[in-house]
Amino acid sequence: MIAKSYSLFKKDFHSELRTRYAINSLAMFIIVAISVILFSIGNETITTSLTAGLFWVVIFFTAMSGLARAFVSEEERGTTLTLQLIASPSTVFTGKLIFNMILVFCMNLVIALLYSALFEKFIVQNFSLFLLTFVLGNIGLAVASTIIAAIIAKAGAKGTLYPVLSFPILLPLILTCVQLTLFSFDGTRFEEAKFELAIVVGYDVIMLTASYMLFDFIWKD
Amino acid sequence: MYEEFSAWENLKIFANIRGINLNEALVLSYLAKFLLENRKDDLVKTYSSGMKQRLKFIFALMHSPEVLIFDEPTSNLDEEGKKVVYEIVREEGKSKIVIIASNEVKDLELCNEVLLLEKFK
Repeated sequence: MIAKSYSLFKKDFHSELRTRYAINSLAMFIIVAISVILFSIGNETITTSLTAGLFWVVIFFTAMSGLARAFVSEEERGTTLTLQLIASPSTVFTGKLIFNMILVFCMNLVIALLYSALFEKFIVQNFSLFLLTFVLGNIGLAVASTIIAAIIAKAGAKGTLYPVLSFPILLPLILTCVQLTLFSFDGTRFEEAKFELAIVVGYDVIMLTASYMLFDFIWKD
Repeated sequence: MYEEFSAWENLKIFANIRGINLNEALVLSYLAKFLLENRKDDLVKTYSSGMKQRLKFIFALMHSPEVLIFDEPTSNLDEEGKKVVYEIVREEGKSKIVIIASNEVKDLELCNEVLLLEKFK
């Protein structure tokens, strides 16, 4: 199954390099969103909590602008039925998840680098906590975005439905990640952030398990 | 089919996702039969609808299935393409089960048994 999933991921990766649908939309959104925030702030200094919040707001909306492509592109090209015939649902989901995971990590790395360069309050005191939050947050975001992308792929108003459906599902993750990012800015020790970290780990495990269990039904309907 | 890839890349991608080794000799022979051999490295987006239709036959045949089900197999095809399809159906029909759903009289002439659905109303 892994080899087949890897083949599907490789196909998506090469397809993205040739078409650049997701990369372009993500890059444009990151540039526009950060520019708007910087213009609206002006010369004022924003607090660390607001910086942490805005960091995850940009991550959330950037994910909404590009990650739906995973399944929508198959639907638009009429290849969904072919994939249903030649691969098992878990193969398809794993392939798409690996692709979205890499896309999310690259996208969020760029956002983090831009934030650290442009926002003076984006100073990480506890780097290992920030790194762990970043990794766990990205995994949760990628898993939730992939399964929601599969749900909305057959819908008519995909663009609207994707953020609307994602918001309640991603809210617990985003809120906890904002808190953990704030902890990493404050230099809070690992032990004091255990509860929030457990929430994010729990979220990732639940989302991953639920996604694999439900994807069969979503994919075949 | 993924239009941003060539026909050959598409065939390789689907073979890999299916988990089978691409039988290059067989696929090349089908490409030659379906008059696509010289265009196999061109992107599918440059193909006409008839060429895409012919390429779909190769997708269906590349893993040597035991049962072939065709729905309107000669739609979008020119006379040359239809001839190739009829030849393939005759050839595959010798050793495999071929089911064709069609309104074309010529398509039905290939069949050993014809079921008219209106009779079953």
